[in-house]
Amino acid sequence: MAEFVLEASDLTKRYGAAIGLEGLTLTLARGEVFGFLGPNGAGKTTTIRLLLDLIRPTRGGARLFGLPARDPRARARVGYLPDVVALDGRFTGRETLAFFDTLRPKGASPSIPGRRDEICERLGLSARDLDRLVRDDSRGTRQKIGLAAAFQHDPDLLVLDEPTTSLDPLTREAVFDLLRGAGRAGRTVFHSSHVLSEVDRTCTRVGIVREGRLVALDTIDAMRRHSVRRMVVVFGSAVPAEDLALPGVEIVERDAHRAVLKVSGEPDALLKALARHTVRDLAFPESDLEESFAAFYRGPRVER
Amino acid sequence: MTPALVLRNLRHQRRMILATAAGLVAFETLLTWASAQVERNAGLRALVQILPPAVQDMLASQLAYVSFPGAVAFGFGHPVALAASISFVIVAATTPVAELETGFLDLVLARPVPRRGYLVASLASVALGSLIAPAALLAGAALGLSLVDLPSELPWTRYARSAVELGALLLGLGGCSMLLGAGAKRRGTAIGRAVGFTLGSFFLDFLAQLRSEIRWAQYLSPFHYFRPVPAAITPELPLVSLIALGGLFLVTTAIAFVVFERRDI
Repeated sequence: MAEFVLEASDLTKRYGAAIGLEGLTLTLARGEVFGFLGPNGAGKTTTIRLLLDLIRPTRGGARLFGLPARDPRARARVGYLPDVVALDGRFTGRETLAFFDTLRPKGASPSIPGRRDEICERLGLSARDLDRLVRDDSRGTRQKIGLAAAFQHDPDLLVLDEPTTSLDPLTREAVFDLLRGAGRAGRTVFHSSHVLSEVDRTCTRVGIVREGRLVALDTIDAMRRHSVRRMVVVFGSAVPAEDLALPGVEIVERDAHRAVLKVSGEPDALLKALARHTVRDLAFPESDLEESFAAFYRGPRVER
Repeated sequence: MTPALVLRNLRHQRRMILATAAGLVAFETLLTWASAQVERNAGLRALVQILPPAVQDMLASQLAYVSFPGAVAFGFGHPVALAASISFVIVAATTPVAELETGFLDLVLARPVPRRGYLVASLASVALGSLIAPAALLAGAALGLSLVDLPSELPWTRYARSAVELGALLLGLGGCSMLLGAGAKRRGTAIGRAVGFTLGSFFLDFLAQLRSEIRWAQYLSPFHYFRPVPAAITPELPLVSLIALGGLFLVTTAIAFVVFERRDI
């Protein structure tokens, strides 16, 4: 059995002088739910298309379950949802799911009986939805059918590109549940998104891609630790602003007795400064990964 | 996996297959019946005499075959029949690029489907079109011959050679269309290239027959190897034509597979 479910080694895609992806090296272990974050056009979809051999790398390569991505057998245990779900409009939803279920290697067993129904139910796909021609479906219903097609054969690796696009809040919750359930069941998930809060809720590790380069790769917890923290301090007496003007500290809000601070790096100097005053209350609201995420995006331009 | 893809193509193309086949049967039946009426009244040779001598000289090679059996065979190469059957083949051959353009191909190839397996499904549709169009014309000829009173018996089986030649032409053009579409990003581009190639080849063959100084160029056109009237009139199997068109199909299809295998989807 291969050590890693997914391996990318120096994976690079160039379109002439333009960079689609540059030197991505990444491994995903079994059971890992990985978030792949980046703004639109950062290289997320290019990465996924390279991993699934839909486009060919300029340099480097990818392996799925120890097999080269180019080997069709490598994709037998993959469930994929593209960023734009382009289904065959002349099929009904039910026929669509049945069609994708037939695309399996010779000798492989079909989907587990009942699995498809269970997924459809969890995604809120009614019998009426499934019996309608896909071309008459709303974008949300098509997205749900695409998700059901990705999950129905209980794949060992799920590659999902913006899976909650066009979904209502309830169905989003159902998708998050499915993703967490997949992780608990030992499935590996590659979840690409530009919405950090989604990844924050489902993933154990996260990679941030910007301008075709992986600029951060860490666990969610570590990223929280390194992230900018918010601190709310309530003082017993008025505190001058200059007492809080320290390196790595940004005053977000302040009145005579209360300050909301953004702290990056070690808080030691700030704590020593606070100790010189009477502190009536001190609170650390949940650190917001969005702050770290935005910081990566605002960072210096990646050299091409 | 490939059978599932073939069945899906068949399902989507069934209306076009049926309409093309029914249209070709009706067309050939009507042509056969009308030719019989002309032959009975004035005779088809009399029609040739109406043409100006210069035109008769120019079309001498074709006019040599003007007769009722020749008119029935002419249906296999009539522009209407050719346009209908070639259209079907071009549509079938450019299905991969159409599905690439919509994004559906992503979903198919993200499953354990080899690219060549996917292309084989489209190739099967091309082959089906290359089989059904000549078969429909043959059925139309048989039906037409059964409807007319002939002084001497004219078996429909003699048109099998014309049908085989047409099938080979359609395969050859289908292979060329696949090749021209294998690297395209849009179906419109692929169809444009295929139609341009087909029309260009057709007129190249036509002009090369008219102008002695470019006669050599006729060998470059697939239509040169498609002569349905002589194929029906003469007893020999058009082996050279079949080899040329079959070879064209094999070479272009093989290159199309390589191009499609290497391209970005």
